[in-house]
Amino acid sequence: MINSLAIIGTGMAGARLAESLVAEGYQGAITMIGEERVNPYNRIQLSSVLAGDKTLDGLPLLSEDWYRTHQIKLLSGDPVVTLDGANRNITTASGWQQQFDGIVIATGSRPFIPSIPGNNLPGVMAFRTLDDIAIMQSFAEQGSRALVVGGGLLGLEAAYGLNQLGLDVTVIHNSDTLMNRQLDARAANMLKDSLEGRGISILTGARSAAVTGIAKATGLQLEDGQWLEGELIVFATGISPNVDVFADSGLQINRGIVVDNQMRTALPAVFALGECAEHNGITVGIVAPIWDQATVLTETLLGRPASYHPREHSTQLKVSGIDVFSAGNLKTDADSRDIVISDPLAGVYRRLVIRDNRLQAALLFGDKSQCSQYEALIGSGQLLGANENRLMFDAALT
Amino acid sequence: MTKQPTTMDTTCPYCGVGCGVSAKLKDDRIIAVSGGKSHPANLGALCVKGSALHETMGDHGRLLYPTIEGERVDWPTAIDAIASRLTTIRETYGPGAIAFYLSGQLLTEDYYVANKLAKGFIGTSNVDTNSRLCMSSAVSSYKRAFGGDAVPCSYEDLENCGLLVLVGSNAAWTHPVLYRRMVVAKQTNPAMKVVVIDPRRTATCDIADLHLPIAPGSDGFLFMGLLGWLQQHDHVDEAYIEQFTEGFDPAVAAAQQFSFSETATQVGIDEETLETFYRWFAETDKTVTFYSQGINQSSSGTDKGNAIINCHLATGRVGKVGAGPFSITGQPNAMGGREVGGLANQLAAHMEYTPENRQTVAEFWHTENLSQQPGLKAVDLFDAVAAGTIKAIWIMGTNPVVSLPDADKVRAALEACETVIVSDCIAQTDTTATANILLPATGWGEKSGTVTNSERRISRQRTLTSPPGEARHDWWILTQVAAKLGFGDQFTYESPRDVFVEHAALSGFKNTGNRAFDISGLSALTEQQYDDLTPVQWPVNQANPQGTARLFTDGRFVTATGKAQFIAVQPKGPVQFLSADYPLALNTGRVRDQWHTMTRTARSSRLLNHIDAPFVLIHPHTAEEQGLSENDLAEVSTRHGSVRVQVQVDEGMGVNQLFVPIHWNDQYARKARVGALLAPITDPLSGQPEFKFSPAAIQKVETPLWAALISDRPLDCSGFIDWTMTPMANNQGFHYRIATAEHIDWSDFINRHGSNAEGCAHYCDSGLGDERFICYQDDRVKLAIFCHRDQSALPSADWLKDIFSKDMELSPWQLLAGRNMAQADKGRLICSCFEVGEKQIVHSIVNGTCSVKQLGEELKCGTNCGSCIPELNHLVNQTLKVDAA
Repeated sequence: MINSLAIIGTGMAGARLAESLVAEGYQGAITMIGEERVNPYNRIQLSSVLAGDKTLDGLPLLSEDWYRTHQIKLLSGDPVVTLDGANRNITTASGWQQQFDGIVIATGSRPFIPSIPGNNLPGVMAFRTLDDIAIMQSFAEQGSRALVVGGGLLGLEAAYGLNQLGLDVTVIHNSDTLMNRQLDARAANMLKDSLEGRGISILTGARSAAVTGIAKATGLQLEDGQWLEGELIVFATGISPNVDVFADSGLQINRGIVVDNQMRTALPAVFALGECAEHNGITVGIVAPIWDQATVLTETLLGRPASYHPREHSTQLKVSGIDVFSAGNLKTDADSRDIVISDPLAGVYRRLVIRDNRLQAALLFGDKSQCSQYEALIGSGQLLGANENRLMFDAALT
Repeated sequence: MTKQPTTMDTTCPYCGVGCGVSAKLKDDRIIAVSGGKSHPANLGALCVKGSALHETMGDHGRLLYPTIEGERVDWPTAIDAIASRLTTIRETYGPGAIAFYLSGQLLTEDYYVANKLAKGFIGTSNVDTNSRLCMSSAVSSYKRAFGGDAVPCSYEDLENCGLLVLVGSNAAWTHPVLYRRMVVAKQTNPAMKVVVIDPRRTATCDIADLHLPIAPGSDGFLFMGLLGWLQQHDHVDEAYIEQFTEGFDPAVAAAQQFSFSETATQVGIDEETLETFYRWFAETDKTVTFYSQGINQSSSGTDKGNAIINCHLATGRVGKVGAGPFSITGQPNAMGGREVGGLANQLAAHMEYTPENRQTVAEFWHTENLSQQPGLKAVDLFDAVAAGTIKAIWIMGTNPVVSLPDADKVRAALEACETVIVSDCIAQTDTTATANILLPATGWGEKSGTVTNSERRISRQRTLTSPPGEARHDWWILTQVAAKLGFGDQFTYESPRDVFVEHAALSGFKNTGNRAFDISGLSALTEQQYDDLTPVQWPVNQANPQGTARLFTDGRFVTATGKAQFIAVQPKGPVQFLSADYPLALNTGRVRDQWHTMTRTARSSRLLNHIDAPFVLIHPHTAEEQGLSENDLAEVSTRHGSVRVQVQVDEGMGVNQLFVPIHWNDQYARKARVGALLAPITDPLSGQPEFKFSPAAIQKVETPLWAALISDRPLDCSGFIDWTMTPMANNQGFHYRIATAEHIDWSDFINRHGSNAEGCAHYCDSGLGDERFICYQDDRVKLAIFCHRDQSALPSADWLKDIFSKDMELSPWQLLAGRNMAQADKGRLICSCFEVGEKQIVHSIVNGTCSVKQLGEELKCGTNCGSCIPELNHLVNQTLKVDAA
């Protein structure tokens, strides 16, 4: 019986688990310990806050009252530095130590910044936390030029936010197409056109060689010899699970902390979820599967049977006025059916991939209508029957 | 200029019923039409075609100015060119090298001036008319029997008869107003019997007490068999025969060559049914035999007409109330053409080419150039064009490249001819495409004159609106050319009335009662009297100043002996035989809402909603044998040519028979001119072609993909396997149905058509060949394309026209769905008047409506013109049958 539970990490995964445990009637004590100095907040909204589309007020995931009411002990700004996995004993940076009946690791991930010369110069940063926003805003006040390395979801949202702040923004992307994991070339090109239409410069097929500057960053040297001027250089080049601190804890760690279908690690009563966890060789980087993991782990902690099985999840770009939705695997072959709509003038591109009478993927650009139905159909793998033929226009299956 | 609507009475320009039309006018436009209440032909009724007349008006697609070899010229230049070309040809090759091909849509006045100029002054007798294709066999048989081309009956006889025998007529579709009169007559007098004789079970069979689906072309055997049977069973009127006729014995001898059972075998009807018909005929004094193209369009059409007339003479049923042999014409003024002598074998005013008549006419016309002998009839006339013996042909108001048999040869002949002059209202027809000189003529609603309907009733067509562009009246154009040719003294007409009174005077000139056609009573009409002329049946003369309802009431005929002539007809089947290569009997005819080559009716989009594409009807068994299913594309071919049409399986068809409509042509379909299929085989006496029987084969055409398109401009579809087109009102849009090969590059097609649409939404489904485009500009659809392997997956024409006609209510990509989910598709249009579709009707029947009357109360369908009532009946019966099963 787990009467005392520590959740290491006050990100979205940890907060979600705590909330779920409370909602499901968990009776033990919960302690949350985190590196960030603020209470858990909605990280997904950061780019909207940066862009000025949302305000800080909406960020906290749970109210102060909630922690009080449910007697959740929240230790912010004091990261765990040691875990004795076998004894479930933790030590934080401030020296605070405690043993728990159960430990949940939800430390999330850290931005991955490529190891190129100059990557530690002032002006080089990632975009992950509330603090990062403040730094970016200060650059904007100086009227700097910004270079965003990485044309994935996060990089583009950062670029959009910086552009909204009035910065002169260039996106440097190493692949030939933007968001190449979620979009096909056609959608990527439409996205490029849309962003360029908003004044964001985009360089694709461009690899950064070095950050230039002596006391602070002055620009980016590309492998092809081109130099781009910029005082603010934001790397959005991926994440890596934040697990270094657990290297000696006795946990099995590959890329992330290895968990089974019940989110259990190799050690008794030690669990992991979120971006720091590795399930079946896969680590996740979006929030939807983490919600599933939190649900499963809640059940596990309550001693009820539950099992985590990854589903296809959708991606949506949070750039106001540019609707981009992608879900499922866009891979096609002779056995798949590809249904495509495009209207370049209206900026609409919609694509469905169907295989064996099931929806395999949906890519919606410019008009996301019915996206949640598509996501559900992809997730459920439901047979489409005769509705296959009109699915593009009417996803409601009866 | 008055702003208040005014009303003007005129006459419909379509079929031979000749209905009065009351047109409501405002600001030089016809804003509505209705049936003329006082006109004796229709008494206020109007069929769907007539009801849509105002929708066919407008300048779009009209021929607006003269051209020579494609270059615009003014009228004096055009007249000069015609006069100079005709003069040169006449001087070099003689007058016979000049031909005129006229039309049953010309007004009597136009016809008269053309005939007078050609036969009287240019001196060519090569003047024929499209009426040759329509009722010349009926003319020949009347002339043989009665001595003159005189229809003895009145429409009232259809109401007063006890037995109505419809032969070779689908009146429900071709003469809907007369058909309505028959329906009402039968309702009023339930004892009245109707027999329909037609190889097909048509909509007309709706009122039939007896339908005889005889073997194609066997009508001669049927009626000669009837004559023999009447004689054998003592049902002949011996007193009448004795007193008023000649030739009965040889006719009966000819009739009795075949026994009753041989006749039954020959016509393919069981003996009991055949005897029922014969017995009804024998027992019913008041019998009208109502016949049309099914009799006339035959290699022995004249004989068939006489076989019918023989039976009426033998029973004394001519010129009596409710009895007579009644030929119905297909054109509004076929009769007027016959009256002026517009056929090649006539001279003028019911006068043949006898020395005496020539003298009479030459004297009346003050001419020394009068042509010598009968000229070439239509088929021979175009053969002479092909042979090069005719150097110049002037075609007025007709479309022979579509309507003549062996039509591909006719086209080649005209293309090769050195001077083809075409006067027409419409700019682009299959025939205007061959013209060297094109003249814009006024059309219905613009021109003024008279027409004569099938009951000899002369009615006024009046000017309702101004002609568009530089269009001129045909009589005026002819008068100008006559003057240029040096005959101005005899062509001093300044109005249609001037022409009419001369025509009327000629009909009475030296007419001692030997010519039935006599309207001398109208030869002194003033302009005002002519304008006010109310419908009147000829003869109109001193003896019959108010006109004449029936002819030969006293048993006196206009033959040399004054007696009617029996004809000893040797009944014959069609000339051509079926063979292993051409095993099917092809029949042709009209559909309900189109007329002739669609030049006018296709201008009303409503009329195209009933049937919008050419088709072939085929019996289910034959379809199965030929490997055909409903809506397949099929090639129907004969030794002469082929058409591509869609299959419609029809249980009303005979086994091994086909039916293809006559209307479609190169303006509306890739390859559907039925004329191209037909052999130039004609009746030896009348010269009328055999349109109702051609040995044919049918084969499925593979159609990998189908497409439905709507466009703001005409599209070049020549590269496709097949296409059909329907224009929308005022040519604001064009709807196409296309069959195409795989791997069509639609983007290239769109680019080639230079659409100025800025936006283009595209749908592509790799699995089904399903590709769709909405090209748009400023909220309006400019071009929409929907392509699919399965024809039934394409959006309806209705829906396409709907999205094309208004601002887009959905995003362009949403329109790619091809249907508005909320709005139910009402199906093929059945009631054109109230735009009620098949699906709506079937839905209503399934929900408990079980009669046409109730349907009318619920949906209004069938309550205006009534043309769709046979189809409503069919739907009620069909749906209730399926429901019960």
